[in-house]
Amino acid sequence: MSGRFAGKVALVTGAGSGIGAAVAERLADEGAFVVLVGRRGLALEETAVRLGGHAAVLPLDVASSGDVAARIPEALAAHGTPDVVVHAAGQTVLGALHDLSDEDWDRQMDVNLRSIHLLTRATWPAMVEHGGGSVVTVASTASHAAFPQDAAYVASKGAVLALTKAMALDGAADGIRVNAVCPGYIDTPNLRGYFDGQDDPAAAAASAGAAAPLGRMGRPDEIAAAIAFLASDDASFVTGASLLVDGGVLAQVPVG
Amino acid sequence: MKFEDKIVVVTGAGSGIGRACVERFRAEGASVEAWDRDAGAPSEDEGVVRRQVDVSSAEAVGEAAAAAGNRWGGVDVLVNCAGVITPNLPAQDVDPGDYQRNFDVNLMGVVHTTRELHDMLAERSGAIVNVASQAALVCLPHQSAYSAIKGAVAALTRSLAIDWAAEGVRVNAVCPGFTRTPMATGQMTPELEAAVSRRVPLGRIFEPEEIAASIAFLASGDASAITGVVLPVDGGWTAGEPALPM
Repeated sequence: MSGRFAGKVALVTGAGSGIGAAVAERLADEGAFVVLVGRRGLALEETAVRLGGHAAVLPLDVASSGDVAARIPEALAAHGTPDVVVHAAGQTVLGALHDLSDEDWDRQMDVNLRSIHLLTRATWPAMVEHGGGSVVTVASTASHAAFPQDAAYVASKGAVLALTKAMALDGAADGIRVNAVCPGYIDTPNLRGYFDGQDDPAAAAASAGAAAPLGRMGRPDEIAAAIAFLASDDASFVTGASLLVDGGVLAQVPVG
Repeated sequence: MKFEDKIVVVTGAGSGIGRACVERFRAEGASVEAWDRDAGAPSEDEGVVRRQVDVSSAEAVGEAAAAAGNRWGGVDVLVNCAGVITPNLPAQDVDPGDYQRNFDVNLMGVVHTTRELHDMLAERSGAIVNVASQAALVCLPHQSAYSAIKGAVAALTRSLAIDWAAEGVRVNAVCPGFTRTPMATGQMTPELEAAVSRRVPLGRIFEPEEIAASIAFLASGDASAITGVVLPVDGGWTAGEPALPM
């Protein structure tokens, strides 16, 4: 494995499972020291073990202003300013808009959107002072095309992509590149949980695979590879971009 | 190395982004078929076979594809960099012949190479990367022919991705902004470069090697779930307006 991130510090949210855990592993494989952020300390510890010591765990709720304000500065002091920040923490609150409670709406926006605001506020000034860096958000195919019974999620991921572009413009002069990956159906514990709630989980999983021209769901390590590209110097002129990693799903859908 | 034992065909390989791709793929372990209109007699040196190929000719592309198949036994990656640009003119002043020339090289060149190499690429579950342009995504003034044809290249990229997905052939495109290549800088005055750099959020025009790095990613196993995408490599140009009115 090449050492594109040798000597670099990366901070990854949602690092306890799925895409966040996979990207932490990938960045560590390529030489980074990774600060693993997430709510579940035990899951973070498990990721840290797989990273073989090139990691620190930082259990906190990324949607909590108090948590982020209290814990991120000490993490920066202990491990250094991050060269790479990956916002992989996310959640899916299902339902049509008229069926969602205030709490549903807030929970969706807090985890998927507010977390980016809080963590950016806590890390950005240090990154500017450090001479720049790279930020990758995990948006979604839902940033580009709507899905039924998914109103708050679609709105949150649309906002993540718009925010990514705004951050890219604001960071450009300071050498901070900001890009989004937009995964399609990825075989994660979260998605498996959704399938398990369907009448026929195996059929639901099969239909998710069949939705992609490549004929299968994606794997977390495939999203991690795309994130690693965007985070690396190989993407030195890519900023404000949305990179679909969806097996071709949106090649068939008008993207506006 | 990501392309150890792989065979990569690069069109427009003699200069600019194509030349940077030849160097990048070589550095990552591939053997390269470097096709260019101005290559001269066929030659082979250090894992690079150079052939003179006019991609606007189906016959010439067919012959080169057959020769590449004979030399290497197959092809893993095709990168379509060959392209021409039109003079900077308002749409009403563009000679229809310039549309035709753009169509023949920038679009039909991609049609010919992808058709002629399809069977070999399918055999190895290969990857194709087309060089479209920022002009495929947003309007560039006085480049109507180039913009129209590059838009078609982006649409063709998606079509090929869908048609060939079941065979495991991935097809993607990059959309470079202003890049320091002989093609682009032929029309680039210092004043224009300064103006372009002001419009680009990252504040400069780009080097061919930076485009080649994105192409290499899309061609590699790291992009195994990516097909049918059109990736801007434009320093943030298409992300939005770089400044508020002031």
